[in-house]
Amino acid sequence: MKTVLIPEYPNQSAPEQLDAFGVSGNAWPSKEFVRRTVSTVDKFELAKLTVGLRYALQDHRAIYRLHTTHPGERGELDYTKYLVWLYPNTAWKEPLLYQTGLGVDHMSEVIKGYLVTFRPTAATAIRLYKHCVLPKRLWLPEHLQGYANEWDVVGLDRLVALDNAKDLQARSALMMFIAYGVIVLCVPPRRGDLKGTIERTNQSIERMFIEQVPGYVPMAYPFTDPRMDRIKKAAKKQAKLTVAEYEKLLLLAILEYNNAKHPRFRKRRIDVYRDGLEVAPPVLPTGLRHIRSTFALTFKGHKVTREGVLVDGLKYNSAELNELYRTGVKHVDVKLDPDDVRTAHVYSRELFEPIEVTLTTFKFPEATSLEVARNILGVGPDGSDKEDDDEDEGDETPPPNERFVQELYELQNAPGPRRGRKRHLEADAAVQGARMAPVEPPKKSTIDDAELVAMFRGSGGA
Amino acid sequence: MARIVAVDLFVGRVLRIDGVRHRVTGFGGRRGTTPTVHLMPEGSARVIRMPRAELYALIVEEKAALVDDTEDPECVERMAEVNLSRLSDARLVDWYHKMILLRHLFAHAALSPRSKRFQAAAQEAREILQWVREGSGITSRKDWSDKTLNDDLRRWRRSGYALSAIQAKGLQYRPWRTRKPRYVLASEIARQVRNEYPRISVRNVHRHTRFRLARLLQQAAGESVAIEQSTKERPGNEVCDENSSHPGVPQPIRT
Repeated sequence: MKTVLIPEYPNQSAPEQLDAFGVSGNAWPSKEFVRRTVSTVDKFELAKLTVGLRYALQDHRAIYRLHTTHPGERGELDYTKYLVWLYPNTAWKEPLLYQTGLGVDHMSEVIKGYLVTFRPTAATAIRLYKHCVLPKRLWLPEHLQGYANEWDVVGLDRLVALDNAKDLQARSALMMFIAYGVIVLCVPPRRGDLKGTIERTNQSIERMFIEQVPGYVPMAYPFTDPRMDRIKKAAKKQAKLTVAEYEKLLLLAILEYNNAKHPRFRKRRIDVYRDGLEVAPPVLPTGLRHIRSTFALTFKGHKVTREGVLVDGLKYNSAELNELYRTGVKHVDVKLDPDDVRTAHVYSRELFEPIEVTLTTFKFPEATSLEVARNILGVGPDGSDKEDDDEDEGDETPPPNERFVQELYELQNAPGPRRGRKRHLEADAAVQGARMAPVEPPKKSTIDDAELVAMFRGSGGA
Repeated sequence: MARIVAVDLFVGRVLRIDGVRHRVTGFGGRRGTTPTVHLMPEGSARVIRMPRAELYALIVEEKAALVDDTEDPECVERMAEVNLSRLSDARLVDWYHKMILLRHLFAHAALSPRSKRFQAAAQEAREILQWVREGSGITSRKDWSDKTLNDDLRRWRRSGYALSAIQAKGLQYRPWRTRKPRYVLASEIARQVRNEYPRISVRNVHRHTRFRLARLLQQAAGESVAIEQSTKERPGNEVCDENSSHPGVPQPIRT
């Protein structure tokens, strides 16, 4: 710890006193002596004493390079500053502004995972870190599965540096880090340099690849600056790509970046990473059930009723949960995987193991993300039902499988937000829907209306 | 079973993939191509080239597992998943802090708690934890001795690094239920070697134990190609002094 040196100024009002100490006139201490003395004061320590650690951190920066010795020692997560206008699907008429999230390894500088989102939330933060940790075959969309084996960057980090984004520091996201004992470094505001690797990577990816993407919005001014409107409008006219196409371009850019030379080690970044694995092997979480309950949204203290538990507008129940309800348990904790909402895990103090509960309101035939499920079931994040003024209220609802196919087809081919649906929820769902395998259009009835009328008349006449 | 696994792959490492034991025979795919792991199923001379990323995915899905028969045996009756939500806030903090310590000492699990390296690593881990405590503002007076941490690590390792083996209230103690036959045999042989050569180093006891274990297993199983390879891979194991008082046993390095 450095000591703070506070120079003692001579008492100028009493020259005779100065003479007593051998100090007279301007001979000593000279101005230069004082300047030098003051310049050696540790300004950080001084600011820490005067304005506190938090503000001192913002104004004074250490000049050194942070050294890490093996891959997996330190990871950094962030969203890019630039934005891109993209279409959620091929039929969508108006493009939307999307953000890209990246995760990097500090030592080797390889990119560990990515995420494209319209609206960063706790679910997207969890997804982003999940993409960084798990092997790529387990999460890449179907049309990009061919690249999974080339991108063998996996594993939990010892420390993860995050900025002050609320989505990254959400309770659910922190619970995920705590479960695996990952040290979370929350970087103070205006200190991007404390996670400089991810900032530099974002810049490189932007300069090398994303700048050329149609619909790219450079962050020339702060986002709320009125001058940004003109830039955004100009970029919007250039928008051509869908999210799926952009993801492919981004993935190719990431692979190229990982295969480029490391600036200090003078060999490919991916080779730096792979060589480092011999020193420190990657640490992987195993067990899909556990992974589903760890990389998950946490809902604490939800009420249990006879009908089960209501989470985020989705109703879950099972025979075991019902039994638990009958024993008098009123509140439980629920873990919900945002990538597959068909089942959730219920934790209670009464239980040794979690209960797996099933979605009761709808039977999804395949793994469905939270956004798509909300869209299909018409519930908001607060659990409120959609305000959809259905014209065909009297119609029979189709069976679940047909309805799922119909809704997913509409989602994948919708030209814009549908009537009565909120725009941002619809856009979120469209992105997740685009990641799912494309579905065939629902088959129409082979009997046309005229035939039906004729049949009705015929039956009435008989 | 929920656990975290350090995927340290090296030549000679045994993996169980879909119930079949495979031995790592090499690595390939450098210089721009997809990195692969060369695997040889036991009892077969065929080499399978599996992409490294695919092997990671199989390990995560628990279709593949790293095997070491001479490691401590598996425990039974464990919690399937970790349940942090049951813990109080103080216990949750304890869990987190203990995980930070254990994650740091992960690589030193085989060391004695009295060794200098372990003590230095434990001290470093405590400094990191102190830094986390100061940075997060969440203080806790909970502390663990080197001996306790070493016990925790060994227990964690014994349960296959299952996360449920770590609970906030110390560690959930689970006695050894089943000992694999090879484990019992290996410990017996190690004791025997130590009695025969009381002055040799641990490294040489290890060498002798591996050699004798392999020979015994060979005799028991008739012809086992894989085990023979594993013993030959170790330099010094196949070099035996015929004139010594114990023919067939490598001579210890006298120091």
